[in-house]
Amino acid sequence: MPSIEISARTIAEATRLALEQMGVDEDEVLIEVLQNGDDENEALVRVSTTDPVATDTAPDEPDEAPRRTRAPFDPQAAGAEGRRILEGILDRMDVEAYVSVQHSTSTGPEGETQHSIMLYVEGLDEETVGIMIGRRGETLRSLQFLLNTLVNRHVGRWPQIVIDVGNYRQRRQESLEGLARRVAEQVRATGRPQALDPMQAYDRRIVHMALREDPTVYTESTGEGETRKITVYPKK
Amino acid sequence: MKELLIFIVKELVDEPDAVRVRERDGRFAITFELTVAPGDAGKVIGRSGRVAKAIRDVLGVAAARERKRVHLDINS
Repeated sequence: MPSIEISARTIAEATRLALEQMGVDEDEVLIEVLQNGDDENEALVRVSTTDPVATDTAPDEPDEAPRRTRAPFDPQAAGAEGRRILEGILDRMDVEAYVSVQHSTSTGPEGETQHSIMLYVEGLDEETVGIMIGRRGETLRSLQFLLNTLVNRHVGRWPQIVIDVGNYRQRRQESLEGLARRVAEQVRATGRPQALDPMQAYDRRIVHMALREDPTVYTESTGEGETRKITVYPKK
Repeated sequence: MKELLIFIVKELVDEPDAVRVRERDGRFAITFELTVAPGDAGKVIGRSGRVAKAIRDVLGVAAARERKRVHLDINS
């Protein structure tokens, strides 16, 4: 699987350069964002062509009897669909922006492969970024929920698409990881469990993941819905 | 902004041809009256109104850029 890594000022720019160099189309490749660009650092993107042998040897779909029995989830198709719809929405908001898709896989708690689709929205002015994120990220969460609802209608499965605007997710992740480390430090020092404020599922996941490897503490969520929160416990 | 609402709703419903939107422009707020086929109302509203809230929030982004508020009424 040939791949190249390219850095540029923005993810969109790096992606465009990589595709140009390889002479391929966006939907033929896997695009991974290795580093988000910000004021100091350039964005770094890895573009890989998917293994052509695999697609060649794939058995032909039987043409007769179009059975609609649970087609396998196609993350590439879901990502492309998500991008099409998000661009349609931004366009009709009179927002000039560029949307890029990042696919990544990770290993879940039971060793299963988890696929995540991230849509990056770039090129917005500061004010629009603020409006789109909203107070405590609520507007961004609405946009993301709506997009997943719409893509779900096309691909027949909840696609778990995450939208990032103006690097909000990364900044939020860094601040939550910092919080997790500080609380773990206190729990370690006092030997007492400490509860965090209620958080959204996506944010709780970041905290769980941040402390998963920590040998001195463990984390648990309690409560329901809007009041669900994490408690950090000392490991004896 | 009307185009934005129509685009979203048409992606959501089973009968896109039945989608109608009336817009009333006020000084501080824009009101949209959305009508969809009777069988599609639930899709636009969602469980506990979650989809309707998401649509309102997304319209709110476009409205905020014009320094306005937005109201959305759903009929079927």
